[in-house]
Amino acid sequence: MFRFRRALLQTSANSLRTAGIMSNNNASSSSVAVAQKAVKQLRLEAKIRRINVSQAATDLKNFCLQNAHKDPLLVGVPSSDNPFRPPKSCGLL
Amino acid sequence: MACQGLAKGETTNTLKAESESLKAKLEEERAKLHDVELHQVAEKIDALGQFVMKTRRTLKGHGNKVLCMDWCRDKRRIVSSSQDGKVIVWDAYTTNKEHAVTMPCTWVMACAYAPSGCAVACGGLDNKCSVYPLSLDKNENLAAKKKSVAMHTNYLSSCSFTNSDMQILTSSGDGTCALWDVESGQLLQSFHGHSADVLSLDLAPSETGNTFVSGGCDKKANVWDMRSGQNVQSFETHESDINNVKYYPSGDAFATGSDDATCRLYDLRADREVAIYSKDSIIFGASSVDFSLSGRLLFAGYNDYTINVWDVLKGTRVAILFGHENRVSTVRVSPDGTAFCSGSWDNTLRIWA
Repeated sequence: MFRFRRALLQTSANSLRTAGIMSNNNASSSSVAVAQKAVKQLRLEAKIRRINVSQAATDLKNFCLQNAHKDPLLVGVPSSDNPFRPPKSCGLL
Repeated sequence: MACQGLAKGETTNTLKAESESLKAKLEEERAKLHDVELHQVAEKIDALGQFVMKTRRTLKGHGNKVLCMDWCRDKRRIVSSSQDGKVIVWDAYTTNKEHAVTMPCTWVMACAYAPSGCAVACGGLDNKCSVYPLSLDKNENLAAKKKSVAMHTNYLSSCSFTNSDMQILTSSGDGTCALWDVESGQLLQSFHGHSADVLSLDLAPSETGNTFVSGGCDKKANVWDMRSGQNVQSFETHESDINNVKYYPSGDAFATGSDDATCRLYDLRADREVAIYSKDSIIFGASSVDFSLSGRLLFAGYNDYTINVWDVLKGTRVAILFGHENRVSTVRVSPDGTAFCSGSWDNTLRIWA
C-alpha cells in the first residue's frame, strides 16, 4: 500500500535532486531557485559548531550510567512495584 | 522563501559547483572530529545481563492492523489507531477499553495523547489531524466534539502535542511538517526541506526545547527550529526510507529505524552518525524505535514480526522478542519506563515488562 507514496512524489523529488546535483536542465527559474535554496541551506549547515565524537560519546555513556539505576526496564524492579508484572503472591483472587 | 534572481556570474552550474563543494566541506569537517567509535568508548562498561521480557498484557479489540499508539502521561492509559479507522483508548493495567471512536477515513496512521490526558489527536488518509476531547461519560459520542486542526495535502503520518494541549506538530506525505494552534486550527509554522514523504517526527525532550527531528522517504533525518521553521541540521546516511525517529533521553542524540533494516544513532553535537544497529540476519525494515529511560536500551520493532533490543552504547543486540504474528508497526516505552507497548499488523497491542 505504501508504494504509492513514492510514485506520487517521485517526479518532484527527482527535479529537486537534479537541480542540486546533476543538473543537465537549462537554467529555468525554478531549478535556479531550488539550487540557490540548497546552497543557502548547505552554507548554514557548514557553519555549525561541532564537538569530537569522543566527547559526544563520553557524554552519552555518562548519561546512561548516571541514569541506569532509575531505568526499570534495564535494572528491573521488584514485581510488587511493577504494575504490569504479577506480584509473587496474588492477593486478588 | 523568496526566489532571488541570478546574481552576476551566478548560473545553475556555479550554484551546483558550490553545492558540491559545500557538501564535500561538510563531510570533511564531520570526518575531522570522528576520532573514535561509540562502542570503543563503551568497551570498559559491563555488558548487560540476560533480559527476561515477556508479554504481560495483550490488548485485543482492533479489527484490523494497529498502525500507531501513544501512552498517556498517567502511565496506564494508551491510545491506539488502526487501518479500519478505529481509535481506541485502553487502560493498560486492566486491558479494558475506555473509549472508542470511528474516524471517517481508513488507515489512521497517527495518534497521540494530549499531555493533560483529556484529549487524543489522530489522522491518516483524511489528510487531517483531528482532536477529540475525552469525556468521562462513557456513553457520550466522542465524534460529536471532534475538532479538525491540521490540514495537509497528503496523508498524515505522525502527530504530537507539544508541551501543552494547545499546539500540535504534524508530519505528512506531502513532504512537510507543520505546527498548529489547536483552538483556532491556525497554521503557526511550516517546515519545508524534505524532498519526499515525511514519515515520523519527535519533539526534543527538554522543557525549554524548541527543536524536533523528522525522518522520511528521502532517507534524511532533519532537525528543525520550531520558532523559525529553519532546518538546522540534516543527516543522510540511511539507504532507504526512515520510518521512525526518536530522541535519546538527554536530547543530545536521536535514533532512527529504516527500511534498510538498520537502526542508527546520530549525535547532534558531533553532527554525525555515531552508531549502526544491524546484523546480517536482520533483513527486514525497522518500523519503530524507542529508548528505555536511561537511553541504554533501544527497542526496535521490525517487519519480520520481531522486536530487537539493542545495547545503545556497545552496539550489540541483547534480546529478541517474539510474539506478534505480523509486522510490528509501533513501539513505545511507558512514561515511567516500567514497560513498553508494541502494536502490530496482527491487530493486537502487547505490553512487555
